[in-house]
Amino acid sequence: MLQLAQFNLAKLRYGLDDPGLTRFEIGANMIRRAADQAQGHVWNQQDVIDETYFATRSVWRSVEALEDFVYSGIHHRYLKLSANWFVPGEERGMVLWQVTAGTRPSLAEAQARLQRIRADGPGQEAFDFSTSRRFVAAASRSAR
Amino acid sequence: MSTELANDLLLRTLMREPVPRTPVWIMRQAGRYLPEYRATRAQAGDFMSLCRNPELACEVTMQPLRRYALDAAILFSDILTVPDAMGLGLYFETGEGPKFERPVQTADAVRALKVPDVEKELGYVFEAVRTIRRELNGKVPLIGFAGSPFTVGTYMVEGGSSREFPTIRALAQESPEVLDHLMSLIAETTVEYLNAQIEAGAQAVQIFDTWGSALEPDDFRRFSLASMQRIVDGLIREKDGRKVPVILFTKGAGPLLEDLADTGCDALGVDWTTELADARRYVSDKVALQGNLNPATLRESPETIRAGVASTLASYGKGPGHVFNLGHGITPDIDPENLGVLVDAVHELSPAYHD
Repeated sequence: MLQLAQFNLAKLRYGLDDPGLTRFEIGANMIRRAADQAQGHVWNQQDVIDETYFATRSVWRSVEALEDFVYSGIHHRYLKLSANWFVPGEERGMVLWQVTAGTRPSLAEAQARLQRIRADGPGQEAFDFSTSRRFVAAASRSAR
Repeated sequence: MSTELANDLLLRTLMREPVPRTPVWIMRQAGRYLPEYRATRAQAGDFMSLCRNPELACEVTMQPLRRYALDAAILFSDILTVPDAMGLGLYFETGEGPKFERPVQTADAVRALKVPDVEKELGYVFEAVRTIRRELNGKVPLIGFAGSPFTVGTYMVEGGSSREFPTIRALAQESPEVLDHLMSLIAETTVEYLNAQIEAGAQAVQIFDTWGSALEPDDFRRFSLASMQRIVDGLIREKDGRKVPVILFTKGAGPLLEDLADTGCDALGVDWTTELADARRYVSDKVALQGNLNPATLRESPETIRAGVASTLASYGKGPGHVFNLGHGITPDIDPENLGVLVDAVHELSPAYHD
């Protein structure tokens, strides 16, 4: 069975020790725990790369499950505040792709998927929310 | 929302700015000592129904301001709204105080705690804040509040009110890492909760740490102080161009006030077991102080109440940074007239302590 993998990469405005990041860190903890409890959630992992980039990887049962989580509740609230903590990127920071159930995408693979959508635009191997309908089979879309 | 305040004595004092007189508000000023409060509570049906009804919560918040020349309003709510939103099932049994259907006593129960959608599940609190701000119309500032993680945690672990805290003490001894985790979960939820109050219009916030000092000093620092520090670090500290002061009130803190002052809060509540003059020395004038007349003084004669006000003002002494309050909440048995005597005495006697 296919599931949906997600990767997001964003550049932090502050160093990890900066008090300006405390509220973000608290929010990130709560978002990770809220994701664990969300319907359709399979797995998630947060990483800080080179003390500069905040990365999230997650796996969901469907695009709809991920969309519900991203655009409601605590995640949505923090999304609206994200400019407080992240430098606006010139390139896209998020990518989606399909994985077989049980897959936990590595950071290297996630970064490769992001490079791919940045270089080639959305396709079967790397897409975004707006193009997901084209690239995700109907059967897996409905499995919330 | 208008941010102009007709009376900003409290906010200036909490930031240790000079003021012409000492501001005064009273913990539990919207409470059972007022007959109009008891009538509104009867209208609501029960305590939590009153908390959950923004119009009635606003009404009881405003009631003491109609009687007395107070310098702040405080949101009418309860510290246990947070664990209720975390899924513990808060209920009240007549004569027995608050209880939880599902106490949290194991690592598994801590892990299973719900991450609440604060905006949704505690939306009634933020609606009350907005309603009160509209009703206040800039007259005095509105204080929001929450319980400290340890104090809230005692109810969550014990399943209700307790005096000896046997279960949470055992948890601290046998599985301190589980208690650390619980404290951090409550702290994070409280940051969300207080920030949402601030976004809705609370102009200062107070954290009530009623039971932290029941711990040995080292355990206090680990379980209560550290989690309050986390909250202070995560709070919105400025809104609409004005600082949002943070007050920590650990009942019975004594010399631990020094540790509390180092959290980066703006003010500390002091109970009546510590002289304000000593408290001022403990905190080296780093933060403002709030307190600390013994609530029992309000059972005495007008002369004794005035003398109590005078000695409290004298104990703090000259200079900015003192908010007059009781050392704990006003009790239901107090004659409302007596609180009027207190408030009038603060207005009359305090200008002598300000240049």
